[in-house]
Amino acid sequence: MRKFLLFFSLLLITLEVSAQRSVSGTVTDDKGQALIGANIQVKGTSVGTVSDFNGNYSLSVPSGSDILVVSYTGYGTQEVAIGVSNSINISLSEGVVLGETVITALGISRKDKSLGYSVQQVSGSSLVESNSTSVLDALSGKVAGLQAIKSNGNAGAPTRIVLRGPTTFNGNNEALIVLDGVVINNAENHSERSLGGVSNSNRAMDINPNDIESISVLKGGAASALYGADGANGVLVITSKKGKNTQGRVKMDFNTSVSFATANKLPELQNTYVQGTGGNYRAPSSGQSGSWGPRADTLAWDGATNNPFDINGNIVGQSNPAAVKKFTPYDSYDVFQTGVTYNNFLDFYGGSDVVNFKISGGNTSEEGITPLNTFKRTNASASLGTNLLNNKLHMTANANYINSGGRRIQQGSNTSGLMLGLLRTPISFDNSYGHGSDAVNFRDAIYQPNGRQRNYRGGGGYDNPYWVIVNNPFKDKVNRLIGSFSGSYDFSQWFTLGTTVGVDNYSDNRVQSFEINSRAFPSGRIFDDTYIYSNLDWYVTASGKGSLSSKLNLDYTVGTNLSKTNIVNDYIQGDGFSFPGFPNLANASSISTTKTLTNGKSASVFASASLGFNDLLFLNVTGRQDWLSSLIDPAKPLKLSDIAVFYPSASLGFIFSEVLKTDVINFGKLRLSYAEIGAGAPSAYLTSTTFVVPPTAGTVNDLNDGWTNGIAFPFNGAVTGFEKDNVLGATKLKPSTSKEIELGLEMKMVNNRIGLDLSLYKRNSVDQIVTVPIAASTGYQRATINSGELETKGIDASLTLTPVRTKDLNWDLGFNFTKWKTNVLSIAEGVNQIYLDGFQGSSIYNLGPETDANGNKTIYEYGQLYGGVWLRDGSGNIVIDDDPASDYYGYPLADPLERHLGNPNPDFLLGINNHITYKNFGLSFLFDIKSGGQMWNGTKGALTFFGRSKLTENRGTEKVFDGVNGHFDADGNLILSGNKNTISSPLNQAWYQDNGGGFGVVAEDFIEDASYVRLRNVALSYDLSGLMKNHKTLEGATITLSGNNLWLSTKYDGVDPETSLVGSNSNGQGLDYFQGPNTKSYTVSIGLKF
Amino acid sequence: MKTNKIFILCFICVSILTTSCDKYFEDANTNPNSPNVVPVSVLLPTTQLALSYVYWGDGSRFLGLFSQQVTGVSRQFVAYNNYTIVGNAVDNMWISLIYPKVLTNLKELRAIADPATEFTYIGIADAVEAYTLLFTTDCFGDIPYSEALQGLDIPQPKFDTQQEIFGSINDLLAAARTQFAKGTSSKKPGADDLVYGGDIAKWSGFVNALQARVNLRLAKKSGNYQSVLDALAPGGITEGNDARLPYGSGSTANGPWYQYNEQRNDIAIGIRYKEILTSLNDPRDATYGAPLNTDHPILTGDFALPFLTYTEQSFIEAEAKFRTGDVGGAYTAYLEGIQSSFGDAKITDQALYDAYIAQPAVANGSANLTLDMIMTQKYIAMFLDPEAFADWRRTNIPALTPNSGNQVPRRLPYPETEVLYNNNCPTPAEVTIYTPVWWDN
Repeated sequence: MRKFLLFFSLLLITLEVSAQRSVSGTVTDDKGQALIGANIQVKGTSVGTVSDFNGNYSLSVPSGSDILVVSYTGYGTQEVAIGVSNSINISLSEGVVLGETVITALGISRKDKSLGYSVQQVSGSSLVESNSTSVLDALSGKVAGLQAIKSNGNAGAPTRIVLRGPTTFNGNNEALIVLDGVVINNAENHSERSLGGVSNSNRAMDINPNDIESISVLKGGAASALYGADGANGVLVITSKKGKNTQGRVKMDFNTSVSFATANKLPELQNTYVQGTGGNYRAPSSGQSGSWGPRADTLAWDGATNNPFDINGNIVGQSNPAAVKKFTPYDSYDVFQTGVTYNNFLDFYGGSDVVNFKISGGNTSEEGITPLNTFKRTNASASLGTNLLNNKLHMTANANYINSGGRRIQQGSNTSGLMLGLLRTPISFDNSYGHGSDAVNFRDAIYQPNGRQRNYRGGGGYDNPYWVIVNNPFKDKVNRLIGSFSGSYDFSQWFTLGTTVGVDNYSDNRVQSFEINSRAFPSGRIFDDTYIYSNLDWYVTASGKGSLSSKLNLDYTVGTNLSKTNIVNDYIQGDGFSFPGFPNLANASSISTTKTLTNGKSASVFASASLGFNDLLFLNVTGRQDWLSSLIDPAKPLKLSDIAVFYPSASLGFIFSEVLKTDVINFGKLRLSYAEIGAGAPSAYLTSTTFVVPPTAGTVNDLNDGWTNGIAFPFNGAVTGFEKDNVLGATKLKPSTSKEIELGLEMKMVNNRIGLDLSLYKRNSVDQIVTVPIAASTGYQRATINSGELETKGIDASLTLTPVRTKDLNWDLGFNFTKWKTNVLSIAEGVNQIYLDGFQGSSIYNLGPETDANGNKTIYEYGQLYGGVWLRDGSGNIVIDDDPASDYYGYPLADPLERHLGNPNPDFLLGINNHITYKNFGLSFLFDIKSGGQMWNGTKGALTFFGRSKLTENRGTEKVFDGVNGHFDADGNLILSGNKNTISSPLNQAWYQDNGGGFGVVAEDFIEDASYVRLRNVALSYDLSGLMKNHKTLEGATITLSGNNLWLSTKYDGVDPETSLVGSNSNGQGLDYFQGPNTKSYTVSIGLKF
Repeated sequence: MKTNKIFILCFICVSILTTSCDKYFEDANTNPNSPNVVPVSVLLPTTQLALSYVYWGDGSRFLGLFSQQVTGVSRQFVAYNNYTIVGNAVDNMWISLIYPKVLTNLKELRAIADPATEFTYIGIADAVEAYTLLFTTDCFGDIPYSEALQGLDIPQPKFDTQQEIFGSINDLLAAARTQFAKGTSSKKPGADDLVYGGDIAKWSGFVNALQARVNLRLAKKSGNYQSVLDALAPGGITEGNDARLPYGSGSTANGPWYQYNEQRNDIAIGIRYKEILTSLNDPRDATYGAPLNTDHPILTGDFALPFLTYTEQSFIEAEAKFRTGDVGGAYTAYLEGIQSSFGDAKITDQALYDAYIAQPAVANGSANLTLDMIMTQKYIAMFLDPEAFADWRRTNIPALTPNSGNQVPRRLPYPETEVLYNNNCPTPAEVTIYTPVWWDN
């Protein structure tokens, strides 16, 4: 601590060196009302302040500075000369917002008005307001053209971010993330298959929202064209908080909050029927899986004290003489607890015009709604900036250290998954054995006296949820360093030379164990999996700007970039523990390991030039040439031209308000742009066909015949064998290219109280990289080729309104509208489908265009649900079996072919943001609307099979299925009678365990509308600054009460429909199968400024 | 002058940049997880195993159904048993094993092998390839070969006629002989040659025996049975030196029949096969006729499944001698075949053999030897060997009643993926499983 103070005092001494004078005054609008929070900056320096609640400001102006720049959102920016007087009052008029700068590609700061493409900025404070641990989740509803999908409500759950729709068939479709000029990794590293296992964090989770100054969202091709091969998915350019010129004072911010979370929506279950089959009760020892037993209200307990499965005794009929106590159903959901999240953040910053610094530390500790599910994150970050040699040499160093990780819970399609065992548990079984959510502390809840697992299937079947929590932990630990170091020298206005080096390094270690008697791995398993990621980025740029003539301005940047990424994955698996209680590799009877290295390099040159004509017309042209290592064919001599890809863009902005000059339209701009840009460099090593060791089973290279597990190498433990990879490498690989055209309109009207930013775009992503089957007589089973095209058409619109603006009351209303449609125009010759994720019979595929017998062409959207459907006649009516001899008499018939099932893509997204301030009160709330988009409710399907879903409560009733009659004859031909079905059929166990449930061949009934309207966030804050005006050290204080997801309206019959079984990186969105529920939460937070 | 200097400076800069760029990208996309080049010693075992696995896997099962040595009793094999067998059933033979696994790696092996120091490997590769082509063309008829294995340079290889394939087989066998005639190369196969451990004398015998098998096939068209004997004249497989691949005891080293019986078990011993064994009071019924499961006395996990045996060679010799009029020689070879087969079937009791051949239906002097007897004994001896189906197609012995319809299939259908992705592949409409292959015509 002493050293710490010493460091600060030294810093302060340096800060006090330069001579200064103090200037103060009031900022008002043209009606004389004080403007709160107006920005006052000394021109050409980083010295600045903001006006207080009375519009007052005071500022120390470095000697030699003579101009103040005063700006306020919605008002014209003014430059005021600093005269002899130390008191300067400034009056701003509502008007054209010309002075706002935005961060564009490669961190280049540009005037908003000069852009020919759409960029939306989100402030750090609005991210913090979201109370989300994840900065990506915090973006929900705040940006037009952005879709955020949080996978579930587990602590540390990932969030998928897509800007303007997908660009690749099955590559990465998530936005690129850049922090202070460094591309940072946002992988969701998997140790297990995506359909089961734990919900891993994606690595953007490592960023603390409190550390963010702003995020600039580059949505379209022209905006992100300078990122070349990596830009097609759009870019989140994050600027972290830096030091400021505080005239040598050290300032401090402290934020602390605590949140309480509960599950916001859980699948509705039937609570009428107990474990059993055919209406008869079966005890847990029977192993019976379903809840097809008798009605609960006919049952009683006998009070026996020796039943390891039920603390209340054995279940008997109420008329049974042994009955002593009326049976009441158990609630499986009692496993969930109130999750608590603590968030603390402290930063110090300060500086002079020569040097500035920031040091911050943050800690987030999240305890999930599932006991023992945690996520913890500690951030330490420092930034040092200097402006030397007459403010010509600028140097900045930013460093962020992150330690994050948690303890995660198995979920999904996995007999050791939490929700799978929990939701299938009949109402007659108490997973906790009377201990409630405290059961994690009691051995008798999860073990029978004989040592076997205590679960509702007598030790078989699925893990008891408490067993999952206690005995199958997944612990991950990430240590990460992200840093950037940059320097620049202003030789002249026309020539600044700069360089930036950025690094992103992390190790992500995860250890998962399954105790002996876990259902997924009954003999026990442990894996120790480590990802080591490192990326180095180096930029050298030259830039400048100035006037070419009185009407023509030029702003240019040229530069080079070298980038190098290495990923090492070390996976060690131990199977078969010798004894329970010691889940350790040393206790495993067999150990296998794999190590995978992935290396990539690129070199680039780029240039950007922006010409402005008379503040009326702006033309921006960029070009980037990338040389990508993943295009190198190692079998050929390296020719740079073979691995070069060029990405051009051009954009035009026309400020038509300069021509119209009306009072109604304060500002109006038309934008037009075109760009060609890459959807990521191809994966490494696709260009060569190497030799591999034939693996045991399950991949293209295994040595077997499809019936058996075949031969593994070394053969018989002794003879080494290799073979040529059965997948032929690409001979002339190129990256997929997106060609995007964008038309935009920006307007500010009625004294800037109405603002509109509208973009229409069309993007064609061609030359997709696909692995296609080929004739095996070529010597290979598959080949990687460039083929196929996606086309996206979309609209982003943001509308900002200020319905009320008075001295005391201000109401800002913002709408962010997102709509896109991405169609699969073609795949490859002979390939109609590309599997993205999911299960046999209910998967997400990209489906190529289909032409039916009548020549009608159907084009499908990206990522469609595909699987088992009901059989239909030519007019689309479901065919109901009318053959009395058939098992399906009176029931709908299944289509023998799998078909298109549904579309998970929403029609549109709409975020409605409200910010109301009244005196010292602030109220903000965000409604988030997703209209359209379907989800496979596999959870409900499975629970219907087990007689546990609410749907099965109607057992014993009859139904006349809607459809027309028909049947298959002995030769398998469909014979349609043409009559409307009138046959009444029982809804019973047999039907629900056949095609009426989720384990039948028809998934169609479990495709549901996943639209929603939610109150994503509401926050009430009170600014205490007024109360402590005279306090010397405390400059500001705010207390905020907020809630997330407090209200949700949806027709979806399961967990919160903002969910994804497969996590954030997978393109197979739209699947729900026993993943964790989402949460709602209440937060109290306090922010102090010193 | 100044312009020149700038020009030179630029030139130097560009040169530095270009050369350093080359350095920067050196090996940048070379896969560190799997090699671009491997020694021939690690390719040879893969090809031998894959060939044995397809020959004794789907080859044995499908062709065994046709020759009625086995019968399908469960799941897909019930339909196959009734000759409802379409292209996707044989995809795995073609796409998992024969083309990418055996033929591609043999091609790579030959490309990697140093002709000066590794010619023995080349000779073995030639022999293995000849065997693969014979098996494949026996199954499918016309197959891609001369244009095959070129990757996307020839995405749709043409189908060579079976006659052309036989030409290629003969060339390969001749090439193998040439390599073996050079003696053993300085880098010689050892344990990596799973069949003969690099013994070129045994390989030479195998090549001659295989040539005899090939010539026997062709004799159905040409009638030239002398060519069969000519092939064997320099010496074939000697007793005790069968070409076999010994499988291992671990679950992923067990032979295909054992794995199939363990993991699927949808097939039983054929009724016809069993019937013939019973009618001759054949002691081999106890072993060959045992139920097909993991307790089978012959098809154990580590059983050495054959490519070509002394037993088969004896019957080849018997048939060729019989057909060329050397009845005495035929009879000797015939008895040699039976005795050797008893050894294959693990019957060591001489008395059982003596009693067996004492039956007139089995052996009654050279004068009473018939083709029917030779082929019936060969049918018994070639237990589950796809060769039994080729023999049946040549000789129509033993008489078979179709399991379904009025004819027994005479080949396998073309694989579905080849029909889909190679326009040169005959469609199911053009070639059915009842269409005889060229030599069978």
